[in-house]
Amino acid sequence: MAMSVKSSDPLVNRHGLLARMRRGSTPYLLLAPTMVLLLVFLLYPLLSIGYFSLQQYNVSQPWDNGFIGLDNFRAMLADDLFWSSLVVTAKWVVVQVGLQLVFGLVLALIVNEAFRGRGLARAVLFSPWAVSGVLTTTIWLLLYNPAVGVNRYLADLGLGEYGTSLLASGDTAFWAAVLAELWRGVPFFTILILADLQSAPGELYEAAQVDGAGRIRRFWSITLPHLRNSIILATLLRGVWEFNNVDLLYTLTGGGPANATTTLPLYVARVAIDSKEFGYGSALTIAAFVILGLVTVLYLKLTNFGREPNE
Amino acid sequence: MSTVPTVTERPAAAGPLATAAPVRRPTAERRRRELRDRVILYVPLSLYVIFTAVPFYWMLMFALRPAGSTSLVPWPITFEHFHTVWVGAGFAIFFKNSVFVAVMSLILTTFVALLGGYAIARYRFRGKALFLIIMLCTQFIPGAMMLIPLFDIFRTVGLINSLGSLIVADTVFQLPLSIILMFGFIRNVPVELEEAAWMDGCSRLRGFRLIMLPLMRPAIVAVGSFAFINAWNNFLFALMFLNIQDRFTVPVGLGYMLGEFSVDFGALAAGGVVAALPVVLVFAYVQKFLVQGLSAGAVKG
Amino acid sequence: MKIVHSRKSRSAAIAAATALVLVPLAACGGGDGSGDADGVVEIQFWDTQATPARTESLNEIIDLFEAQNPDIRVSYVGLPSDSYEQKVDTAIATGSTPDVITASITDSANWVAQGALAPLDDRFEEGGWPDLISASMVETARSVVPDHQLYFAPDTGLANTMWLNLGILEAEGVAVPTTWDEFYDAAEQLTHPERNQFGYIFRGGAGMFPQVLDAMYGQSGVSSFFDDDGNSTLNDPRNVAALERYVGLFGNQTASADLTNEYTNMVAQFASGSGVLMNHNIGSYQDHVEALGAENVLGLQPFPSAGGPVTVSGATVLGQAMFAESEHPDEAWRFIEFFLAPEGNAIWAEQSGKIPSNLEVAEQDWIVEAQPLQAAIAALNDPATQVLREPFYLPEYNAIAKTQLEPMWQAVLQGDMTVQEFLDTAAAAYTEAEASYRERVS
Repeated sequence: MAMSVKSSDPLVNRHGLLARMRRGSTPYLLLAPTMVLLLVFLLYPLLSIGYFSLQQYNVSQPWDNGFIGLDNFRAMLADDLFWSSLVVTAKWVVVQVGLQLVFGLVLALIVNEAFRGRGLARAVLFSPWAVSGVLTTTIWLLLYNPAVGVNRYLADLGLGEYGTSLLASGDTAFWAAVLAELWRGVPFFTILILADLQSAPGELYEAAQVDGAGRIRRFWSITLPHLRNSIILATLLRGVWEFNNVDLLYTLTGGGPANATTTLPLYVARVAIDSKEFGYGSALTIAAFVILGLVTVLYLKLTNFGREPNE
Repeated sequence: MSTVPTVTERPAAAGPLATAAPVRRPTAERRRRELRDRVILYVPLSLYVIFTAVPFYWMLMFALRPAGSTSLVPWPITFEHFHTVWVGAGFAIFFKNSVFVAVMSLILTTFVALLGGYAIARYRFRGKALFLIIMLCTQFIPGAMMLIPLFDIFRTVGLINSLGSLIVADTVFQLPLSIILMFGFIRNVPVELEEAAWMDGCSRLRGFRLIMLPLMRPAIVAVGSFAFINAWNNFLFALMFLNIQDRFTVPVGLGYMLGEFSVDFGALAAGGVVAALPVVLVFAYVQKFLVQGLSAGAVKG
Repeated sequence: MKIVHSRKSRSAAIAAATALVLVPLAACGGGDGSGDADGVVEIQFWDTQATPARTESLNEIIDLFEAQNPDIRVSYVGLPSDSYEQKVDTAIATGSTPDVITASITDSANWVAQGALAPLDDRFEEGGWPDLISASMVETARSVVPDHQLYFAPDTGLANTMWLNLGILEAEGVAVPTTWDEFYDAAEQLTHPERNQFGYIFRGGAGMFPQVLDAMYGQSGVSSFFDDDGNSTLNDPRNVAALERYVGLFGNQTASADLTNEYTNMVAQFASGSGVLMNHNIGSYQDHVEALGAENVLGLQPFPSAGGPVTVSGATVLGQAMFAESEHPDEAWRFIEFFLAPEGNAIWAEQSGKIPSNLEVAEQDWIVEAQPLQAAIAALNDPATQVLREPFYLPEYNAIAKTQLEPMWQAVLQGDMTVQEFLDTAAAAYTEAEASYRERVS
């Protein structure tokens, strides 16, 4: 691509070369603040992570520190917890995004209807989205607490047993965390999908109605294709965020019990905070980055993102 | 906000769940259908509203009932826990700091993203695709290992111990998403609208101000509220970049209640209420603009 | 021309905007300026376990100190206990540490390994503190670092304690246990799951290791963490048997949710009466008194072991440390001394419910009347008591417990791993760490 500008730009033709050069620099000028901020504050940390991934760097055992080549990466391949955390991460992302999408879609369709109290319903339904991960954890810890949580009141009614908690069992802890994150995550999908529904092609629905197409057929043949691109984008963004979601799991389950909820980024955080193995943590960070990049590219390819629905 | 050039929301009849009710249908069947539609609508809606509201209620219950009470209704109501966090834990100051940081991040993020989004949407230039890819890639990095180098940078540019460091850090990490959102929105505003203004002799800047800015209000609200919420909720930057108690923000205060040795559930819940209330209220107010702002076709339609 | 002009000014405007954004933000920084015109020195003090109550007592101490030392101002920074490590590690790595910090023995071992703390021996001697402060606490503080110097001034101590909800014991007519056998019996008699009452509160989650050690070494009577060859005694058959018996409590005399129990939950259970017996250090005393009333709380020291002697573990100390890079070491030390002197030490120990290190304070009435504190002091001062010294000097000590043993412990409780396997792995990890430690220091 040459240093060209949009041919439809009327100013170029009027002001010749000088203007063209200035015009050519305008986008860079507009992007300058962004570039400055990102370069200054993101590039150096990234480079240093790359650097440290080749180092033995443990602040609590400084005598062993030094360049070790690819040893961190070799150790990673032999690290069972790395592999099991990958599995947990994949499960976490797929379950989270899948459930959030389904619930978000259904809710969006519902609150897109006209009914009394719709504004209030929307405000209530969307509100968990504004709550932070740490605060979500706070709330759900109170709900799950065996001594003062919901469970205790259910047991009072004879439902379930005293002294149990969804968080305190290898079988249920994962789903307990899923439920808490769903509470916060569904509104994001609802909002995005609801936004896209605003531009749904009304003529098509009317035509379909005349054809006698049922509600379900209208959904599959008109609504869903229309939402396609925003669903792809929303699932991708959400997938990336859920992949990197540490604050909720860190406080809610700490990765337990018995590592049943240790995702890769949570593992990175624990390596950094508990073991202080900054070198190994950097190597894990790079692995996470690469994996996420590859999966994203693959996902965009597989879904043909950007293709118009009816092409 | 009445000047917002909104597109009135589509009448319900267009929705896929809508009742197709040609006038000729017998009224008995119509009523039956309507009833069924209401049930389909209200039952899942009510269930989900309960799911959303119970956790909030649970927090309020702990925050308002006396310590040691096990009543499911916070009665008698007490404000002792709010006193503990507001005065004892210093939330009064944290709250002010949080408001300042969140508002400034909102302004800075929106401004920079507006410039960047406009550049990407309206100009063709070398490296544009790369730029977009970089924006996406910034979302990929697990943050735990970034803290030490980030701290280094902030110290080098003299940003430690000021609320400014939080504002910049929050902005940096919020920018990529904001730019992508802005870009998507501006791209959908027909360039002809702007061109018409240039033909009338407006400069590009003036054309932008007169034509684009009013059209973009929903997008600005969307990006701005994302930025506000993000900055309001950020815990780690505040903890890492500030060494002065009176500059800490609400999430750090919440951290005191969540600590290993805190057993005061009432104070924890009260801190949670203080942390949640502003964002939830702001959000309840802006959500309708948010829906428009994120709606790619809002202006096209 | 007009357009060109406006464009030029626009470019300038954007550049200016970028600068404007960054410059004033930098300008409103600062504030860590030390030393005023009036000669007042400001020292930075970080509290690593901040809670509202603790912040309040520390501020009270700071106010008193400042009133008596008008030339020093203390700037308090409270860090949440869940995340202070990241903050301190970053501060050390980037050379931006404060002057004084609250420290536990694990913290000090960690920070000493990073070369961040200043040795305090000379100042401690000069101040005449060796005669005024508990010698065993000072020894514990020294024992956690390879060079045996004093890197933090111990102001309070902790001891593991068996807590009893006396009200429930009396109501059920269960006698206060005095041996391990009686303890297991009591736990069984006090367990009534159908009415939300469990005999014992288990720690399956974060920080589970002290409880495990106490139960193991307390029952077995094994007296040291390593044998003479540097092999860990964790998987000594006596310890394995002891722990197997102890694990038998889980799920039978405890709530099944105890699998992930940590401090907050344990205290909530104890306070609500849904758990009757609990092993935790003395630091939770105030919480229990507040919830149940002093008359209902009893704190016991370990029961005699099978071999006869009482073995205590978890006899750790807390105190104040000074960073090596402090620019005001003299002022920082004066502040640290305030925690050792009777006035500050008494406030600090009483409000945090811990054992004061100042010998004079330890004789004060409030201590004599506090049964759990008395019991702990008596046990520690009894020459027949064996003290299990944990190898906190190993830089991996805590990391192994946290990252390896905690998940495995939960696997044991879930029945996915045997106690023998668990202790073999733990012993191997610590034996290896000890070996490389011995190699380094020799």
